[in-house]
Amino acid sequence: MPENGLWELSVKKDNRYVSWYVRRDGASSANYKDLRAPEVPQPIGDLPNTGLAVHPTIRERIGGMPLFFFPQFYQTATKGYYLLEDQHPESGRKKLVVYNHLYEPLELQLPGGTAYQNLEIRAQYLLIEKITSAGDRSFQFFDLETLEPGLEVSQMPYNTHIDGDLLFYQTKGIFDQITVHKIAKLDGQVIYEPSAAATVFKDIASAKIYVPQVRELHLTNIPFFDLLSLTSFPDLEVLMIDQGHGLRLPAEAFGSLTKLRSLRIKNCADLESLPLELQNLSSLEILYIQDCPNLKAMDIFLQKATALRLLRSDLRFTPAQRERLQATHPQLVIEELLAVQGE
Amino acid sequence: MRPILLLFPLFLMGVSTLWSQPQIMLLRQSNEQGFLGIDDAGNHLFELPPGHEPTVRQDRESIRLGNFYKVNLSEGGLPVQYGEHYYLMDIKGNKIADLPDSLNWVSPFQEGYFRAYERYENRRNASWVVYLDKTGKPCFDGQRFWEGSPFVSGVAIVQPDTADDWLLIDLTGHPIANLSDSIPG
Repeated sequence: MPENGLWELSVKKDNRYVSWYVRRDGASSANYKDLRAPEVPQPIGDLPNTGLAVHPTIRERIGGMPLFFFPQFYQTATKGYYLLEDQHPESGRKKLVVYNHLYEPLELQLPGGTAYQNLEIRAQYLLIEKITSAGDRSFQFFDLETLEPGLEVSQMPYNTHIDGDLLFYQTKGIFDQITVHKIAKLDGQVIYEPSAAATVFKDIASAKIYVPQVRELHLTNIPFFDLLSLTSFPDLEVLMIDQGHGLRLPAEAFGSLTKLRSLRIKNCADLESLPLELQNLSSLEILYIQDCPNLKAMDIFLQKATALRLLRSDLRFTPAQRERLQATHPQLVIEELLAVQGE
Repeated sequence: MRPILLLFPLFLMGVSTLWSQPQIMLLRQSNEQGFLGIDDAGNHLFELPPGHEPTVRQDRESIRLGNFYKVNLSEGGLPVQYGEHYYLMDIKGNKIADLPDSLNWVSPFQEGYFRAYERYENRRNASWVVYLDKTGKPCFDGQRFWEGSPFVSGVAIVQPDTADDWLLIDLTGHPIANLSDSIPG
């Protein structure tokens, strides 16, 4: 918990609700800034006592540094490495150099590398940017325990994230929700990668390679005719169609999707009807429809889709239509979409 | 009944410090899938079926879209919601307890308690706050609160359903201070 954690109450004052902040010692105020803890001096960093005889110059260089500026290091009972900033005596340029506990700079020889740039120490790994004679750059995790190169990646783009000794490959969706697509230890061992059954495939061609494991397809900007290929995915459970083109979905394709449990259809401006085969899918529990303005007679269609448990859509029903739907589908939850929903 | 009570700004800072504690990761590739629970060696611990949503935030989210969470299960179980129902699960994926259907939200475990919202029968969309122990049993003799915060360093701020007072309580549920004079309303 934060040392200065505050509770925010919503309280009625002068006939309106206002925020009121309370500190854990009971002090309270309408302005949370009043409750800030008094400034405390920056704590000073120190090397751990591992029994290692660290060269006095290292202690001298980093002694007294506030924690915030304290250099990164890796230290055990037998070895220590310290990332220190050196200044070139003539140009004045600053450069990060790794010293061992004897205050000797670490000389790196990495396969194919001609130039290196030390970036940071994470757990027992030194992250280095490696540059080849051809100017190619890659990122190499160098194990300071074994002095062996570990995981090497061609790029360290914004969608990777290091946490402890793990490298996360992740993307952000709307509302900044994170999806992690791979996790590797910094020695190169991959500890998580989704199976084909968990992978969300974005096109039919790449999904076909993994038949029959494919469970989830998200198809964008697709002619409805191409959906005939869905007969190749007998175990498909989730299908999303965004920006589909055509008046009707091909009935033949949907009749074969006996395990489909969730169907999402978005931005299909021309779509006029859903195939009746969908009504017979005993597995289809979730139907999501958004921005399909020409869909007709959906209340009649839905009355026969008896397995449906959740309808999430921007379709609007009259009170009478809704009443009839709920009478035949007491278990059906109808969620009306008022705004853009996430994937 | 007063509408909301939040801990400010505990959430962001709390999340950033979690990684230093024993914990697991919950992952899925889309919110149509169930979560896979793994440890930091990549061992598969459990799989939740689609639609079973773990509670990972100390405040109730109106919509849950996250596909990746780190959670600490070293002290208490994980609350999981399926439909309108909540249950508690251990780190191996075993169900510890079914929680009463009268609860419409359950927080993650913190400082010995789950904080839960219990439906208030006489007003739509209103809830009491109750505290549950690690087995899901009600604490403090089943005391209900109009408002109740998470425990932070051993104290919580509450408004009991028997009075309009704002109280600081300790981990045993006993009042240690009455703040009503300094809080408006």
